[in-house]
Amino acid sequence: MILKRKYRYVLILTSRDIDASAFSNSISNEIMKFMGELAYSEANPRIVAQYTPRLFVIKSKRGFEDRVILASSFVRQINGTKIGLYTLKTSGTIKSLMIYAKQVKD
Amino acid sequence: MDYFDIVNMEVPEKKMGNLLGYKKILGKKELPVVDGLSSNNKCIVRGGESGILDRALRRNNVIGIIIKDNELIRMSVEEVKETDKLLFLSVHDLTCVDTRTRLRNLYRMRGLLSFATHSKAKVSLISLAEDESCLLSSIQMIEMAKFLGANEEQAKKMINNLGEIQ
Repeated sequence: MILKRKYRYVLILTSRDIDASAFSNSISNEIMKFMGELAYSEANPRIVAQYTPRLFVIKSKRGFEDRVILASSFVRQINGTKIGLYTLKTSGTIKSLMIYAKQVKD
Repeated sequence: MDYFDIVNMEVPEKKMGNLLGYKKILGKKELPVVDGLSSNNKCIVRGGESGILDRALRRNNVIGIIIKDNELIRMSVEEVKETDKLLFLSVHDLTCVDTRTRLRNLYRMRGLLSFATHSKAKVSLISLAEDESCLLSSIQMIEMAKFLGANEEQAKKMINNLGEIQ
């Protein structure tokens, strides 16, 4: 029997606009810095969607989302720019986050 | 459960506060953090000596204390319990400082929270953000409280405590 891998999706708002491509690498590095390499490799956080220049979704393995949230709290600058990351919502499906993100956008 | 926060800057827009999961965010104008006993208005007193903190706790205008450098001053924590006021832990000391200070504050804050919990003193976790980048959402604050050693229920209560005072 093949077990389905389960993930959690975390909706994050940034304090300023960010370019998605430049952001992906630097946010991963920053989160890894605070989580540690071992926890990072288990959690495997990835940016999977960006709704606006300030609103994006990080996917992580279920059970590790609390560490991703905590690590994001400590991130204060990315590429030398001061920035704040705010966790707005976590969910088991990306669809429900999409609905919530639409409300935030409006 | 409604969540509250105190910041050390202008209050962010209400919409932003609600988005971050707070019912209300208090700024430095509504509830300032003062060093010493100089203020007669509603405030939070920050200090590093038990004498000053104990005197502050007996004043009606002081709603709680912040212990400087998060050192464990047992007498003051017990006084917080006796006077039914609040012991504030500032997340700013963890998120907006250099790595060495952060590690020291983490260790001290855990000890402080552990002692305060055993003493049954009311503890409140606040961001005390000085700019937008230091703000945290209520979800992040709950995770931070859990990281400091609180359980889920305690963590939520730590973000909610301020509501009882208002």
